[in-house]
Amino acid sequence: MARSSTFARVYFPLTLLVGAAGLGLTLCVLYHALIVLDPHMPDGSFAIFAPPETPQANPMKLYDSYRIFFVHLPCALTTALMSMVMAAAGVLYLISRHRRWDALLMAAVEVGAVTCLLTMVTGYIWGDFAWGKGWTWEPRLTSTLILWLSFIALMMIRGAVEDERKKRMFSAVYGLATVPLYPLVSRSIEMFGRMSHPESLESLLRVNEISELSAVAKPALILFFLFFLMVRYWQLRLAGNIRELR
Amino acid sequence: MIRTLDLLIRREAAIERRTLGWLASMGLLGVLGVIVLGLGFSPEPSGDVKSALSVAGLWLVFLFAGSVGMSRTFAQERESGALDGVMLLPIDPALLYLAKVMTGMVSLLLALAGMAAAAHIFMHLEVALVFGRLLPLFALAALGYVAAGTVIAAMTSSLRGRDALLAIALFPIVVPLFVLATSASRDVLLGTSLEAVWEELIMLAAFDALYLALGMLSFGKVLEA
Repeated sequence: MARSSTFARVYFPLTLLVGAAGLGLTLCVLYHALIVLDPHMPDGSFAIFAPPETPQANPMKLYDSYRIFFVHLPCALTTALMSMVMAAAGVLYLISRHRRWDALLMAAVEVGAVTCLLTMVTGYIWGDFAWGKGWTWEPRLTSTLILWLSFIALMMIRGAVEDERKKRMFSAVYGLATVPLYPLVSRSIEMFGRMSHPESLESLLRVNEISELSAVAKPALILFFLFFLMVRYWQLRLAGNIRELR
Repeated sequence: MIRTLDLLIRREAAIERRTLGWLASMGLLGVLGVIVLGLGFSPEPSGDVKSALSVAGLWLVFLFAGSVGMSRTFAQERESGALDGVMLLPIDPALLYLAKVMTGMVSLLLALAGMAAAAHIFMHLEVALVFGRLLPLFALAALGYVAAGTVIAAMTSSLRGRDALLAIALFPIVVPLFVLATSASRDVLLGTSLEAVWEELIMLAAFDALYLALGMLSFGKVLEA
């Protein structure tokens, strides 16, 4: 009972608040990004569209395609955040063996898998405009795909284990084992050199309107996905409580 | 501690001698993989293309053969209950992990040597001539692979469909090692000196240290679960 009352008094309103703020801000960002935003683009703003090796598909179409970055970049940041939550929850579970950390780990894995997929899909769409092909075997794209596969692998391992304690332990250890992938994803361009993926959006962010909207888009979408993390966390915790009662 | 580690390594070596878990499965699968790869190269590509394709193919064969070896070794120990017996002893599971990693690495290197010889004979790839220069690279890649694989194999050995699960769970994790090892070994095969791939070797060593630390911390917990 104590748990459900904490849920009713604190967690439920907090989740609703995060959800409302995330959804509201995300809708505002999307409205501005797709309809309102019409900045003056000085020369050089599209420097990021000129990959060193691949030809551009259709320069006429490039102008508006930057708008997808308002979704692509926050999704990539959320994936990084979820990976860190996953590793931290894994460590905390191994130390305390408390089910709450396992629920948080799994919620982070599920949300991370979705945001990672969204990052790749939005990147594919932009790449199709900018490079003439959505997918290239370049370090940032490949390492992101590998990270996504590790999320899926963790879910598969979990699905194959029947014993609940074993399931939690294996998830925590596997979550930790994916930590070496983070430097590979985040430092891939420094490690293997830039091929197609832009190193930063610096040339675009010099345009004031874009940099201002980008500063709002990141927290907005992160809050939006945080809402799903919170909902899923409580779903998993309650499911665990029900299993225990049975 | 050294004495315990020594005894555990002897135990692993004895298991390996009796069952040929790693060597038989990996060596044979590795050589077969190289032969299939060689058959696929028809007409035989030339120069840099051949080196790049062969190196990628060899590492792929190594990846699959290694996972089969790891899965087999753990499955035998789990089925016979030998692992439960060892866990009853008052020893640090980290030492058991280190013993498994060391013996696994030696077996993997021997299998790699066999694959290199097969690649030299069947694919006319001059791996054997530069084997000395490739050895540090092979050793670091094998160490990281076994360090990560031992923990994952311990996890999946008691599950249904363990072989497929091991491959699915292990491959994404060890990708950093194989990305570095493939590019560095291709450069070495094309005539680059070992000093030129120094950066890759340092990064491989760093990943190895990370996998080893994670493995030593978590191996006992995985076996207990």
